[in-house]
Amino acid sequence: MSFSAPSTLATSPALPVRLAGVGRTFAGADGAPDRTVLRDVDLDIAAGEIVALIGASGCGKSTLLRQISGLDVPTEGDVTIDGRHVVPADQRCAVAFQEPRLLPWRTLTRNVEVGIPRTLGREDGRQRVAELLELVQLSDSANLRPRQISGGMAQRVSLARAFARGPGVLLLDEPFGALDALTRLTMQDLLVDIHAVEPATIVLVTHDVDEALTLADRVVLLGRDPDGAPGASIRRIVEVPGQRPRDRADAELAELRAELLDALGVDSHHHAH
Amino acid sequence: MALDQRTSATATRRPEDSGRRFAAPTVAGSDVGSSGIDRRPARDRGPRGRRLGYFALGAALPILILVLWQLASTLGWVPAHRLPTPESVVLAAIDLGERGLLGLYVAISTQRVLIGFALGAIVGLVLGAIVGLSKLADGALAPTVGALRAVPSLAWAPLLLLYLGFGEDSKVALIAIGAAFPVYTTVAGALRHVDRQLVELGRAYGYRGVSLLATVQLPAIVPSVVSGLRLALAQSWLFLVAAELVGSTMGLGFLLIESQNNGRIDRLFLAIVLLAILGKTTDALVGLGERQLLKRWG
Ligand SMILES: Nc1ncnc2c1ncn2[C@@H]1O[C@H](COP(=O)(O)OP(=O)(O)O)[C@@H](O)[C@H]1O
Ligand SMILES: [Mg+2]
Repeated sequence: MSFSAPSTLATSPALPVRLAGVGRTFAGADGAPDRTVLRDVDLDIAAGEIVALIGASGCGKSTLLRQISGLDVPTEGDVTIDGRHVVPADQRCAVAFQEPRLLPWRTLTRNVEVGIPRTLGREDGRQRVAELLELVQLSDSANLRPRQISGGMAQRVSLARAFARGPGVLLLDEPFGALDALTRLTMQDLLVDIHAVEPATIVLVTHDVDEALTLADRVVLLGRDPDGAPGASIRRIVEVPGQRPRDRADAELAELRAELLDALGVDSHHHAH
Repeated sequence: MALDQRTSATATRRPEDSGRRFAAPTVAGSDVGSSGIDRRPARDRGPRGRRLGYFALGAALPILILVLWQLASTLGWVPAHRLPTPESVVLAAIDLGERGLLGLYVAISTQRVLIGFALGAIVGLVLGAIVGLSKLADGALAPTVGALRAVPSLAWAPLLLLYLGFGEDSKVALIAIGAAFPVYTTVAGALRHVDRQLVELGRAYGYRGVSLLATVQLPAIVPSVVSGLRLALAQSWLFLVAAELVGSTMGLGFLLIESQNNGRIDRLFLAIVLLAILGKTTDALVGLGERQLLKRWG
């Protein structure tokens, strides 16, 4: 089950992403005080790099992805993709949201079609959809509706839809969260395969430190300064050594893993995901 | 109007439902099992016999009423000038049929309802879409439309007669008014409550304006639109009678008022029975269409 480059497809080349002093404060509704979720986020992501974003739940990881995709606008700082400012709903990005967000009235095939670039011909589009459904192991369910499938299957459809774009920047928000352990490993390998063939820049939010270390070139830890200003910022960046595909049992990774878990405030001896 | 309120209540409940559906996967820890759920009610899959059973159940009451009617009229429980026998109603139908009036009245009334319903539904859809999609239009139009909706149907009739005359226009217009409001209410309400996450998904994948409407918003509200149309059709028959009672020379409403004036209680009953049958038939047709649509979009 390896991914072959669809010869028919002109996927866009990977694009560099730059976050400069990005902050996001939500205006309080009905007299509630304003809420600063992100502040002073500086990050340079090279074209084709995979960055894993980890941090406590509610610290602003999804919000940060939304700044990159142009679905939300930062109150401070700038986000640029390939040197140009992000526009609303920037089409250089493809997003797999934290929730699957499938259109309930469409079959899985037709849901993945949403991701196919409009410039692709009808026949090529159909072929790519079929190929992607095969890769996420859902060919047999292609004609089902979202209400007929499990949460993990829905998440894989959402992933296939994002891959379908062949985007310059791929934003994945906890893409493997609802998967069982085996499928999760398979999908991680698939991501590595696809990235090798169609190297997009990938920002991946995850709660799973092992996943971050298996997939990413760098792991970015987002979090609040315990006694600093409100809002999360980048607390630490860890460079992951070695080429993908990585050996999940690597000793050097085990060290980084303990370090990251420690930074997350998890006791690594009792860590269970 | 009470009916209208009920639909908007259904419309508001709907997004929560779908919200729950979307929330489920993030909580469900397992990829396998747990929720290969098919939520269609058991009735859809039930054996044919059960459906026949339901039909028999529904037919029992009308048959009982018919029997009681027969007894009450022939045994003299109710005097004949107040309650005609079923037989005399059938004879009245045959009599009117032979004069060519029965077919004419049924045809003209049905035609008025269908044209008025179609026009009203279009106006309601467009107005509902505008108010449901644009906050600006909502603020500017919704209060006025709400006030107009509160005007009782019969109040429009004299004005429409004055403006449009005794011809078809005034009747069709009155029915269109009656049909427009339920469609407007359900469409506007449903559009306001389309799952925000799905709309954002559409935006993220490059859909905007009309293409977003066609890809996400309209399909999402199909079930509410259909139930709005169904209500509108019922309203159309209501407004038809109002229109024909006030000023007409043909149609079932005319038959009602004329029979009342002539003391023809048999024809009065005939008109009522015909209205029941026609209303139920058109509703059943829409219901059939609804089933097909919901299979696809539900
Ligand atoms: N549109 C919004 N308005 C107000 N607050 C928001 C909005 N979106 C997110 N937040 C807040 O921002 C914080 C971070 O949310 P999120 O980015 O979803 O966290 P994470 O993905 O890291 O779990 C949360 O406390 C949430 O309440
Ligand atoms: Mg999140």
